[in-house]
Amino acid sequence: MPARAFSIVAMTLIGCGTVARSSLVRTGASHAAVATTSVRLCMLSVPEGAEELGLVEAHSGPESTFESIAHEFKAQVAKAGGDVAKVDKIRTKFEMVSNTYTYQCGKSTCVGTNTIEVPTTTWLGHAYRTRSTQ
Amino acid sequence: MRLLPLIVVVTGCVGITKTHHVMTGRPGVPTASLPRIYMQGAAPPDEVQEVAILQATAHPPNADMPHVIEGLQSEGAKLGCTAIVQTQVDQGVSTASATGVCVRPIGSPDRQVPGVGESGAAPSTRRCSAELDPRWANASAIEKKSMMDQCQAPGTAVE
Repeated sequence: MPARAFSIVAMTLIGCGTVARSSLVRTGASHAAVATTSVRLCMLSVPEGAEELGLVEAHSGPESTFESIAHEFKAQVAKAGGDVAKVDKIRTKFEMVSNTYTYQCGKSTCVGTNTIEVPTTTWLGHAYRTRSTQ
Repeated sequence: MRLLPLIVVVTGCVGITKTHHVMTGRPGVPTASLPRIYMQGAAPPDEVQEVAILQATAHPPNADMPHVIEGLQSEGAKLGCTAIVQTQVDQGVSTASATGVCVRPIGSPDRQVPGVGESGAAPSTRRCSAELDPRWANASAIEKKSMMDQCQAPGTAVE
């Protein structure tokens, strides 16, 4: 149990996944990667005739921001060679994890433990390529 | 003294509702009326264009649906949106989060930024190039301010 607690604390402190992370599953033809700056984000509709390239997922780490998740999502679309990042769903789940902190107790430093709630926001969607890119 | 770290952690979160957005279109003129909320699964209004994806997060004592919805509406109004569609609320033990897509009617006026030498001039169709910059969607508030400042410098406005 102490080892398990230590691993949870270590993951929290070391910051495993402190930045947004993402993944891609190709469902269409392979294309050369494009610049992330050329990727347009949308949530309601996809340009007519756009070709689907893959499924994209991006999720937050403890330190990441909403903007960094968006950037990560677009980066995966760019990697697939797409220029349209269609977001289908954004969900946030909450998890209670152990957290340690230190404080001064007399002349020494003491360690305390508490439980904190950590949100993880996940973006799910698709990478598309429009005719203008083809 | 032993309680100090805990107090810092707790008070650091009191009553905060934070909002964020990433642009997916062009902002409209900020509005005083709050955008209407359409929950996920509800049919969105017709003839609208996307402006941004919004997120609001709230901590105690604001960690509830009313506060995150209020956060979305406040952020949406600043972007000139009349509705927030596909609104999703996720509730945790001590945190609440909501996301939605901020939309405005097709044909409604874009937010106007004064161009060069237009001080006191009649409204024009000139539009600042900053919001057309591909970096705009991912820029932080500070970066956007810098881009807008540059945009308002001589020779940077576009028709």
